[in-house]
Amino acid sequence: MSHEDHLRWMKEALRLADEAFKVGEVPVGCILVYSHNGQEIIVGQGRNEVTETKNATRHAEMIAIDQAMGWAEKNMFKSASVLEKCKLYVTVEPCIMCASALRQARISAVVYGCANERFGGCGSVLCVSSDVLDSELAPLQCVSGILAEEAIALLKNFYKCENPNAPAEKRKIKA
Amino acid sequence: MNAVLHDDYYRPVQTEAALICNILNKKKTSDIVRDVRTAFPMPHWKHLKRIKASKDGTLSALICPLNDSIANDDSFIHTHLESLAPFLSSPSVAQVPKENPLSRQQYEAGNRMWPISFHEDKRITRLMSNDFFSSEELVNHTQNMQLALEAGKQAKLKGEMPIGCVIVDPNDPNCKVIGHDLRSRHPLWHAAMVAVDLVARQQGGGVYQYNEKDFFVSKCEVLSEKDKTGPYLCTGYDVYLTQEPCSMCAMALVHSRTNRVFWGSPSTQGALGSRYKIHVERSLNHHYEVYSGLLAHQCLALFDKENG
Ligand SMILES: [Zn+2]
Ligand SMILES: [Zn+2]
Repeated sequence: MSHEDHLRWMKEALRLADEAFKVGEVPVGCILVYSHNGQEIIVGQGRNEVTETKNATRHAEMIAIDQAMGWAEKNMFKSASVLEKCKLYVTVEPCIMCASALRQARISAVVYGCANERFGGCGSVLCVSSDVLDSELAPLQCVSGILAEEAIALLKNFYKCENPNAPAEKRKIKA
Repeated sequence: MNAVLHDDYYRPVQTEAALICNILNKKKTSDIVRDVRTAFPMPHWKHLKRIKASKDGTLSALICPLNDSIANDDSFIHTHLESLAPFLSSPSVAQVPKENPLSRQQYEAGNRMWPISFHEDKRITRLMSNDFFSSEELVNHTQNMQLALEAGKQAKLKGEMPIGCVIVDPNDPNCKVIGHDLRSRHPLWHAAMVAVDLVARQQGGGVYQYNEKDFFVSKCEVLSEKDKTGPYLCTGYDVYLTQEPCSMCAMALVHSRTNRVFWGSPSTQGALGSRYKIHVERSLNHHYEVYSGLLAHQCLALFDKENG
């Protein structure tokens, strides 16, 4: 995969992150790209949907995985065989939960923008992407630093404002 | 049941070499302490006391950590302590505890080597002594785990991974969800993920699509738009899992702001004690308490081939 390809897909992910920002969700976006017969197709995309679903696990990555599974079903493919030929482009390093989820869903690789110092599961806090886990679970290939500045700028803007959807006494301004 | 704490609390006491001298004239003890403190301040060894009283009545003074720049002989003592040198024996080397003790166990072990000070965290002592719940609380935790066990049995009957999960509001025991693992249908629908989504459903959200008639979701006051003081994710809630959760599930419970997690049987890939201890990762913004081994045998028996 060339650097140009990475940039092209990451711009798509950034567009989703921006969309999340506009509806008051943490501005992280991602797309899942499926390589099929030499072609690359977007089979899933996501942005954070924690507030609207009241489910704190609805990170962009989890939504993209669900979409890719839906795409596989619609096109009569086995979802496992689609997921293992997917690469994830995400604006921020996946958190520990998502890195573990991507690996357990057998996604082949993840390309991300900036590091996630507080929650990152691809090396920043833990290395669940590559730690020896289960003999049958291959490590998740990671590429970092693609359009990192843009991803950071979105996050900085977001954390300047507090989350208006949390109950009053639970609101916190994160640094 | 055991509380699962950070590895630091269980670490054996590490030692370091130090230079010590016996005090030959006890009347000079306070002068010696004063001068030794001035000549050899020990900012990294704040937990170590300067004087040790042995059973035979001997007093010894801790001079300084032993390192290459220190000569282990009388001239060294003379150079640095001048007029008090005659009241001190020739220096010798002793092993002293290197770090500030975090647990009572570390304090007691370290204190046997050299006197140390200890600022006890009563909560930690209680957690490490396995004396943290009243019998009433124990009954309650056991009952909740039994509900999770029942859910695990249902999962097994359906050919799913036999893992059940219950999430309860300890302040309102009627506010509860019960579910089980569904990973044969979706690789990420582990028991904890399913239960977290049931809580979301309870609060008017939720996304997972399935039709499990045996799952339970109690009614719960829905968060109104005006009065935002209602439930928020799993804030304050207790989670009962028949098996230790993986890293995905453990982190999902961090994101969900869980209060406490009780798990039954360990998992080699478990992230709350076995493989990782995600609940005590210092960089994370939320931490919950973890208790392991509640109804461990029954929880483990869910995986037996014979009994269904
Ligand atoms: Zn995540
Ligand atoms: Zn799990």
